[in-house]
Amino acid sequence: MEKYQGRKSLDLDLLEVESKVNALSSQVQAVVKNTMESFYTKELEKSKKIIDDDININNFSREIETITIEIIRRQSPLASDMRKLTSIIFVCQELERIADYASGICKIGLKIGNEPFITQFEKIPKMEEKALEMLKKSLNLFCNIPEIEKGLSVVKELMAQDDEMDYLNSQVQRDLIKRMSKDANLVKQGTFLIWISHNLERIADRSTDIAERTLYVISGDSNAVINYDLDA
Amino acid sequence: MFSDTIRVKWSALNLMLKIKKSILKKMSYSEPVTDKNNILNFENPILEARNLSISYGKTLAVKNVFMQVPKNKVISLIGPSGCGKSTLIRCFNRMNDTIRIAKISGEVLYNNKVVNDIDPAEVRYKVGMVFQKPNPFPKSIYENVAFGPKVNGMKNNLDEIVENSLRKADLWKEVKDRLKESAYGLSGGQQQRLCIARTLAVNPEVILMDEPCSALDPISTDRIEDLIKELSLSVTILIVTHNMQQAARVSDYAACMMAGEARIGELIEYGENEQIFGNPKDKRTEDYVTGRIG
Repeated sequence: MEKYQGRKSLDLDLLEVESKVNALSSQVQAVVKNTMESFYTKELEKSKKIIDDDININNFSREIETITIEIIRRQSPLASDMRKLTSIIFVCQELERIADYASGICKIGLKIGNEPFITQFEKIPKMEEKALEMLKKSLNLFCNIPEIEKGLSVVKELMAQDDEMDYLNSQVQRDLIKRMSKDANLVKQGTFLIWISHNLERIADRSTDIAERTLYVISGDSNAVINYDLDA
Repeated sequence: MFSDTIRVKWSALNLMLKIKKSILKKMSYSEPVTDKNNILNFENPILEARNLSISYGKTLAVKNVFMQVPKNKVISLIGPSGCGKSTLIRCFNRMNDTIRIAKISGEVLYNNKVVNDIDPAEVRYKVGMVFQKPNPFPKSIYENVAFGPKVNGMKNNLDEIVENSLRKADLWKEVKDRLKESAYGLSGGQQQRLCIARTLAVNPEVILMDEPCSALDPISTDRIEDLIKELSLSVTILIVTHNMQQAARVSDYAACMMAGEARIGELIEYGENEQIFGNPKDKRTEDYVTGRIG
């Protein structure tokens, strides 16, 4: 058995904070999934609960930030440890924002209420599926830091998916605006649906940010996305 | 009041650093280049070790060091205990000459001249040294600073030299009214600054510091660190330290030494501060700065 050559107290602190980030990641992924389910099925009570529970995500995110700052204060980390700990603070903030977008979708769901939907939902479910996939991929990457090559290939995939999300979002907007311009009765719900599409696009964007931040943890280069040739 | 003083000091230091940068730019300062062994190379280094190996009797302590020290910069030398940091810096001003069993192979150059061809006293004037424990002479504060210039035959302007040196070492205000008192009456931090003033009195170009703050409290340490930054405007400073945060705070460049299984010290990485403490290229440096070997 290889002799343990670590900094025991720092390694234990890292383990603790990483397990909390893992838990927060799972919670946020579940929130995004439940949000869309409750939206399609008009489970208003479920939506209300998600909005009420958002405070728990905020508190948990803040708790992780506080623990991380305390570790930085106590352990004075350097090099890869410091990159990881500072990135944890960043990722927690991103996760907290993602949960806010989900909560925003729930609020829109409540506003629409039991009114029938004006659309058959073609593109929005596609966006939801893609956003969830991107979130899962980026959090997997951050929680299981890989070698640079693997990190780059995942970021490359996510950037391509992010472009697709932008395209889908613009299509949803264009279609809805077109319909709203013909029928003024559709304006209210149409605007709400544009917001939902926008929120899903933001979730995807922030997922890409998390993956890009992981590249910084691996390489120490804050411009890794630009400096490494992603087409190579 | 306190924060105002800090602000004034800070802006003055920033201004000086800006002037220094612009002067270096005008002097067509060229950027250092990192070679394939992760070692920085400079144009016109003030100190240089070329394939330097040092042994004590039959025991090889440090082997094959190639290291260039640029002018007017702070370079920290880091590495676990026993990796040869102190042994290496002692070669730069021939301090190892005083150890009978120490043997050196390879070359050490000061301003492109082999140090062994220069008179040891002259080398030590130009390349001064400050040790871990403050070591003032059992003399008055004044005599401690005036000692070097006196031995050097400088008899005029001694008062001026003493005052200037104490001012540069940020000690003048505290001792100006008790210059004739024994240096032993000063606190540890003041004694260390007195030793720096004593080194400065003979106008050195380089100061070697061997863990200068390890015996000092945080406030004295902070003052020495400020001093190091200010002095680096006109003097090159090579500092050995075990305090990673201190090395990251004060140095422009950092060199990491490591002893392998045979207990022979080697220079494994030499790079810019941001690289060594932010993203080291060598796994061993990463393990050392993150506290996973030591």
